[in-house]
Order: sequence, then C-alpha cells, then structure tokens
Amino acid sequence: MSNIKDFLLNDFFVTGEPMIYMADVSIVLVTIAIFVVLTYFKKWKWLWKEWLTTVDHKKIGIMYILAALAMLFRGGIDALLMRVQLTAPNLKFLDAQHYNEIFTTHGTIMILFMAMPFLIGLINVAMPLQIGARDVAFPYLNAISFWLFFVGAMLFNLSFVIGGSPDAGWTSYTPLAEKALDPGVGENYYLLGLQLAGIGTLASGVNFVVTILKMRAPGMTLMRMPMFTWSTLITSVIIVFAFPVLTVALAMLTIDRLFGGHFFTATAGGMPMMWTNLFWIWGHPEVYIVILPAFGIFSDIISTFAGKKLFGYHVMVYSMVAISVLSFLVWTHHFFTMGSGAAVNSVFGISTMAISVPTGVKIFNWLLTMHRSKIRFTVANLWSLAFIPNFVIGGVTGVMLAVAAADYQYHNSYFLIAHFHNVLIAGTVFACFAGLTYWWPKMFGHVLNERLGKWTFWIFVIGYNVCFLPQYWLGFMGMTRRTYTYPSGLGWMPLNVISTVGGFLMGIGFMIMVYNVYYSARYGKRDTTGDPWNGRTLEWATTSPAAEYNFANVPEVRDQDAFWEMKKSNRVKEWLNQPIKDIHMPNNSGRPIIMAFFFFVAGFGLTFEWIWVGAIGLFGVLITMVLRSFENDTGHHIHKEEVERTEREAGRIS
Amino acid sequence: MQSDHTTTAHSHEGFPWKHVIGFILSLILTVAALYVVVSLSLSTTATITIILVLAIFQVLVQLLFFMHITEHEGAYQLIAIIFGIFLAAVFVAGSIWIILYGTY
Amino acid sequence: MKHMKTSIKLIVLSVIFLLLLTGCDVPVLQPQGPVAEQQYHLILWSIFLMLFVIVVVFVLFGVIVFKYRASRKNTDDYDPEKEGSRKLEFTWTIIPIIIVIMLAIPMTITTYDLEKNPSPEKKPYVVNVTSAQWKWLFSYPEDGIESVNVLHVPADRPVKFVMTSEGAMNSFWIPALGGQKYTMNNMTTKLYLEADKPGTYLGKAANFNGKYFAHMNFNVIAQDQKDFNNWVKKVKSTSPKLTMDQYNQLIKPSVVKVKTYSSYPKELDEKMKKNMDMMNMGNSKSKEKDQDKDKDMDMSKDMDMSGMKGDKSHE
Repeated sequence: MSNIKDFLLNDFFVTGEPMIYMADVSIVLVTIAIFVVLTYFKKWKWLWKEWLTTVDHKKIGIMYILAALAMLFRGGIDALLMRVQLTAPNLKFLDAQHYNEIFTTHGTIMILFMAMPFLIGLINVAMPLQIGARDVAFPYLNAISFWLFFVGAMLFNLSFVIGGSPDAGWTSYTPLAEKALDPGVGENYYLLGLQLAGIGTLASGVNFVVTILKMRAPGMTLMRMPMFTWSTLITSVIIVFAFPVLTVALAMLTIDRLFGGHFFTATAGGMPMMWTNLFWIWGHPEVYIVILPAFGIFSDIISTFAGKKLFGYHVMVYSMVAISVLSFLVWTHHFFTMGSGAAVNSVFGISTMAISVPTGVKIFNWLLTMHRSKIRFTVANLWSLAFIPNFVIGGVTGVMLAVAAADYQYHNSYFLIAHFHNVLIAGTVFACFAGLTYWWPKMFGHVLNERLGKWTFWIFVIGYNVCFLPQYWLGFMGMTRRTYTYPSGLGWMPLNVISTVGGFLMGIGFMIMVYNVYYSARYGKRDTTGDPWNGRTLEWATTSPAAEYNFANVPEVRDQDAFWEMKKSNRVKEWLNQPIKDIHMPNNSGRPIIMAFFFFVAGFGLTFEWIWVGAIGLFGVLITMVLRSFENDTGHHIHKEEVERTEREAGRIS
Repeated sequence: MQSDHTTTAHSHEGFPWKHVIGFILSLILTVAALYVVVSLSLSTTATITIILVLAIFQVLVQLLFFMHITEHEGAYQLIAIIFGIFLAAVFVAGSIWIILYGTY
Repeated sequence: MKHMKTSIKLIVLSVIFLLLLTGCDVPVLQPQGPVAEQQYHLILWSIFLMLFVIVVVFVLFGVIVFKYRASRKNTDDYDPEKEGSRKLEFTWTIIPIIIVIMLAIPMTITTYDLEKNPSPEKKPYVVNVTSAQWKWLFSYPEDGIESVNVLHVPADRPVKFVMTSEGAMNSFWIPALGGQKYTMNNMTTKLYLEADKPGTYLGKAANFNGKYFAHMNFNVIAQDQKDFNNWVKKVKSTSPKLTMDQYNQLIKPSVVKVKTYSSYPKELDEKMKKNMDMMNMGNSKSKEKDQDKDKDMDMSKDMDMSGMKGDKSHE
C-alpha cells in the first residue's frame, strides 16, 4: 500500500510546485464545471451528435481552432513565465528544472499543438469551400486526424501534472534526451504525444492532397484555384514527404528509451548526431508547413481588401513550389556548428539563401497587388499588412543566419531566438489571427468587432516588436537560448526588461481578443449575406455559416477569383435558382474519437513504460480499424425538399 | 457529382485479399530485418546489405499492394514518385555526407 | 547605387556606434581576434545588404499603403484586373539573386578560411576542451596541466581547440574571439581562435545540456606569452594533480568552482585521439552516468561576471 502511495506522490503526480497545484485545482474545477453545465443544459447528446462524432470539415476545423487557441494560451503563459524569470539577472522566480521544462513545452506546444492545428483548422474551414466541394475527400479520416492531434496534445499537456514535463528542449537533442541522461517519463510524453499528433497530421496531408486534386468544382483548373488552396496543396505535399521522417525518428528514440535501443546513444555504436540530422530533415520543411498556408491566407486577404486581382498569380504559385522543393534541401543550416566542414556548410548556406529569392518575389507581388487598388483597413487586412514589414525583418535576419561563417556567432544565441519568433509570429501567428478574423463570419455567422480587433492588433504588434527586436542585440551581447538565468555585470538586464514588457503587451492583446470573441458573439454584427467582405473566392458564395452541404448547387468556375467573376457577370442569381437535387453526404461516426481514445491509452501506457497498458490500447486501435474495414457505410442523402427549405430560410431562393 | 462517395461502396466488393496479403508481407519483411540485426551476428557489411535489400522489397510491397502503382494516374503519380525518389536520395546521401565526411 | 551603399553603411555604423556608447559589451561586434574579426566583417556586410532590402521594401510598402488607401479622394487610377508584369517580376527575381551571390561568395571564402589556422606563420597552441554536465574542462597537452571553468590562452598566438564532450552535447563559444562549435561525445571537433591582445573575455556554453546549463559561463583569460608561462608555472607548482578517479568524479553532473590541476591523466589524451577517428565510434566504454543529485554543488552564490570588465583593456 505504501508502495503505491510512494509511487503516486513521487513519480506519478508532480508535487512540490505551487503553480502545479494551482493547475491541478483548476483542471479539476474546469472539468467539474463542464460536466455541470453540460448536464444542467442537457447538452450531452448535442455535444456527442453535433461535435464529437462529426465528420463535417467546418466543425472539425472549428474544433482544431478552439484547441489551438487553448494551446496558444498555455504556450503564452509559458512564455510569460520565462520572460519574468529573465527580467533581471539571478532571479529565483523559477528554478532551473522548472525553466527547462517550460521552454521545452513552450516550443513544442507553439509549433506542433498551436501553429499547425490552427492552420489545419483554417484549412479545414475554408479550403473545401474555396474549391466548391461538399467536404474533404475522406471525412472519416479527417475526424481521425483531428482526434489524434487532440489526444496527442492532451497527452503532452498531461505531463504538467502527472509524471513531469519533458525538459530537453523542443528539439530534444540526443544524447541528452536519452534515458541515461534524462530518466523519468517527461521525454516519453514528448515522444508519444508528438507521435500521435504526427500521424494525425500525416493523414491530414494525404486527405488535403486528394481533396484538392479530385474534388474541385467544375471549371476550376489548378491555375484557377485560390492562393490559399494552392498553399494548402503544396503544404500537404511537404507534410506527406516530411512527416514520415519525424515518425521514424520518434519511433527510433522511443525504442532507445523504452526498449534499450542504441540508435542515438553516445555509447554502444549509437550516433547522437543522427537525431539532430533526422529531426531537422523533418524540422526545416516543418517551418514551411507553418509558413506556406500563412502566405496563402495573406494572398487571399490582401487581394480581397485591395479589391484587386492578385499580382502575378502564376509566379506566386511557382515561387511556392520552389520554396517547397528548397525546403527539403537546407536542413543542415540548423547545425552549421556541428563541424561538418566548409564544403557542407557552404553548400547548405547557399541553398538556404536561395529560398530568399522566391520569398522576395512573393513580397513584391503582394506589394504590387495593392498598387492602384483600394485598400480597406479592416482588422484582417491590418494583420496582413503588418505581416509584410515585420516578416521582412525576420526574413533578412534569416539570410544573415544562413551565412554559415557568421552563423557561428549567432548559433543558439538570442539573435536566433529573435529571428525565428520574427518569422513565426509575423508569419504564422499574424496569419492565424488574420484568417480567424476573415473567416470568423463563415464559421459563426457574425463578424468580430472591428474596434476591439484594432486594439488587439496594435497592442499585439507593438508588443511583439518591443519583445523581440531587443533580442537581436542580446544575441550580439552573447546571451544564449535556454539559459534559465544569467550573471549580473554583463549589461543584459535593460534589454531583457524591455523584452519582458513587450511580452506582456502581447498577452494583453490576446486577452482583448478573447474578450472580443465573447463580445461579438453577443453584440456582433450578424452576417446575413454570406459575403461580408465583398469576397473573391467561393467560400463567400454560400451562407454564413455554411450549411452542412456547403453549396446547394456546386458553382461553375470560369476564372480565377471564381465568386468575383460570378458577381461581375451577374451569374449569382441564376446559379442560386438552378434546380436543387438530393445531396449525398457522409455519415457521422463515433469511432474516430473512440479510436483516438485507445491511441491515448496506448500512448499513456507506453509513456509510463507499462507495456501491457500500451498493448491494450493498441489492441483497441486495431479492433476499431478492423470494425471500420468491415463497415459498409455509404453515407446518406439530404433530400432536396430539406435543402430547398434551408436555402429559403437563408433568403437565398424565393 | 463532386462529393459522391461512390468509391466507398465500390471498394467493399469481396474480401480485400490484396490488402491482407500486402499487410502480411510487410510484417514478414519487417520481422526479417529485425531478426537479421538482432539475432544473426553477421558482419556489418552483410547486415547492412541484407536490410537494404529487404527495405527495397518493402518499398515495392507498399507501392504494389497499397499505393496503386499499377493504376495509371498520369502525371501526378509520376511526379510524386520521382520527387519521392529524389528526396530519399537527398536525405540518404546528404546524411552520409554531413555526418561521415564532414566531421574532423 | 554606390551612394546609397555608402549612406546605408554610415547608418549602420552610426546605429551600432550609438548602441555601443551605452557602455555595454557587445562582444560579437567588438571582435578581439582575427577569427571574430572575419566574422564581424561578414556580419557587417550582410547587415548592409539586408538593410538595403529593408529600406526598399519599407519605402515601397509605406508609399503604396498610404497612396492607395480606399478613402483617398481620387480613385480614378483603380485598376482591379491588373494581372502582373513579366518585366517587374523578372526584376525582383534577378535582384535577390544578385544579392545572394554578393553574400554567398564572401561566405564561402570565410567558411573555408575559418577551418584553417588564422595566423599560419605562428604555431598554434593546443587546448583540449571537454564539456561535461555543467562544467568545462581544459587540458593543455603542451604543458601537461588542466583547468576547470577557466581558460587561459596565450595572446597573439592562434589556439587550436580540440573538443569533445562527456555525455550531452554542448557548444563552445567565446563571442569576442569568434564563433562556436559543438562538443560531442565520442567525437572530436576542432576550432581555431586567436586573441589579439591580453584581456578577459566571456566564454559561453551555447547548446543546452541539462539542468544547470546556465551555470556554464567561464572566463577566458588571454595573457602575453610571458604571463601565460608564469601562470603555467604557478599551476604546476601549487595545484594538485588530477587523477583518473578524480576525473571520473568531476564529470558527474554537478556545478563546480574554478579549479586548476598541475597534471592530468594520460588516458585523456588517448581518449581524445581515439575520438578523432570517427569511424571508430562506440569503442570507448563509457560508464552509466548516475544522476547524482546536485552533489558538490555551489548554487548559493549568484553568478557575477562584472569582474570581467575591469580586466579588459578598453581603448
């Protein structure tokens, strides 16, 4: 009995940290609150039928975005804790171990459980609508992808209160991340959480490729696709080729840690550098996985609010293709300093710099899109406009980092930290906020409040610059990343204070955004037209929010900016009044969430190295797969009377 | 129709022998590779040669039994395969170059 | 173009100068040796080129966003169907390519240069560097002594660092003398650095290697050959020997103070030699490192690097 108690207190529950007790309490309270609310309002059935079992791409997209926002909150808290700790030298706000755990979870969560799901959520919401499809190609697989991401994220976050968080950095370099130097379950959480989410992402990639290649509306040739759809296609191809590398690398490290393998150990013939190598073979394309959809979002938004065709459409596509190919050829620039020699470093330095060429082309094309246009400064467009100068700063410092010999002086310093936050926030995060504001009416039927949105925008953008610009200089001063504290007497404090202030400004901006969500839900302007921005692409041709079947009739595409062309040639009315037929739709299914639950059990068991629990979980996964294989699910039809009724209620037909 | 899931009904005709055989073959090839490494103490060169050969067979099994290589899909399929081979070559050759020949 | 370049150059230099005036040490931009100097020139050159890009984009951005706002008086120039322009797109493909070439050539030259002795006419002094969990060990094979968490080097003479690691990877960085390289278990990397003149510089561990990574700062003390020899002599006569047992104790996870030893075990040199043969991986048996909790640890004292500044010769 005392053995069990011992285990629970020493190894299972994380103890001794007031912050973690607070988290324990709030997790319990929030769980109870959710249960009470759902039971009181009798919403359990609604939750299960409408959301947990849904295969509707729009709802899956919304769930992705909600989860990503929650993760943004957690990752943001991590960031602020780190900033507080670094405000002054020798602070004791966090101890070394706690700080190490926090930067690890901050990095992992922000990249894998915030940026990617946020973008995949936006893709889910908008892409099928943009190509005039009724859903993605494999709606059931889409649900599995989401639930795998979700349980992966939950498993990873569980480490905070049960067992202890990973503490070897989001890059998890071996041999530090090997069992000999990092016993405990933290790293196992990292490996299995990422593994589950990664499999989900891989499936999403396949799903989106097939959707875009096979399910476009008639007339929509590849070269008529909206830029966001193009970016999704290219991103998905990168996912399909890059994520298997991560899957394999994670599996190898899992074998090392759980079953005594020696792939990456420093002894017994292992090769620690191979982890670094494999990690970045995936890791660099991953950077483009989170930036290309952002480019797509900005392209669509800038063109919409300029009221003008995207400048150089073809070149925009070719440059993205070039970036996607180059993204696989540059990974060594993450470890120029590992002594691979001048030839290797020069080649990879040049290939890295080469990426700046297609990226630069895109920047100028965005600028010229606005030439002789009518720019409307809505919140969505403000984020997109702010992206250009801020991203250029991150981009040029990226070129500086690509200069191998100079990188020896930047590597792992705050210069690097400033650089990648500059590209990831000005690129990905601005895009997420822009896309969220832009497609919010399409998801929820009302527009986000513009005034509050502008407050968020200015506070966040100013805070972001105040936070990260000083860090370039800190890098020149010799401050290295992942240092939980620094000595006095180096003159690092003033810039760190400024940086912390900036961090908190970003936090305030985010809180205003959260308030805006609440405020707009109650008082926001309802979007009755389905086209609140005078849009150009097909998602604005349907109602807000879009009906389950997306389009009563699939539109015929005659040009780029399909909806713009329809409006211009007055074809909208005629299209809406085409005769309506029965619509075939996929069935909801509870099996994806159940399968993901078994994946979670397997992941949790393997994390604690309880092999039998892992085996039970994997057996459950196998059973759900077998059951699916023998299922004859042909979907259902929405009868045309019902479609007509819905369309009439929306005022689209008389 | 765009989102008609006609293929769903179609693919459930009969027992999916192809998939089952492919699945078993891929398991055999995996276990064989593990056996060669763990249980046979051959020379390093021999071990690497054998698992490389097994890996090539594994690729073929995946392509033939699961990835519809025989169903001609035109340009997309060709581009995808060429790109895949290109990347595999880059990853393998690049890793060897970086790790073995670069370091002092 | 030429004029623009000079003015950008002036802007950069004056901004850097102003920031330096605030009185802080910015070692990367205040190089104290030929390696850091070469890197500094490369950094400046890349900053000039990149500032050119920034200026062009920012000006264009400002003008376009202001001029084409929807609320402007006269919107006659509105041209919604404009598709693109071959000529313009060609231009901004070519210009970045030229900039990349202007950067790639000096980069390649410097990258090759940095592999070599920066002052080939002088024989480099060799220091073996080993990173362990939360300390740096320096062996001086020519003099047979060892120091921990402090590095003494002769000034005005190239130093060849032969580096490895016990356990986790790390990265050896002396910002004022030049850029870093990783230390890796069972492997050897080398790095040439040189200090122009005597002084005390900040040494950093740049790659995270576990709990007390932040405590791995060390002082680099460059002395002229005479002072350096005196220091060696002093260490030889006053410091204890380092035995293999003590070494094995030392590399266990802990934070230790500055130490010097009058000699170190021969096995360490042999180990380093063995590591040099990359293909020989996995031969050296390394012991399971027990995560002995914070033994021998001196965490009570806050770190203070302010002593460094006084020693340094500013001019």
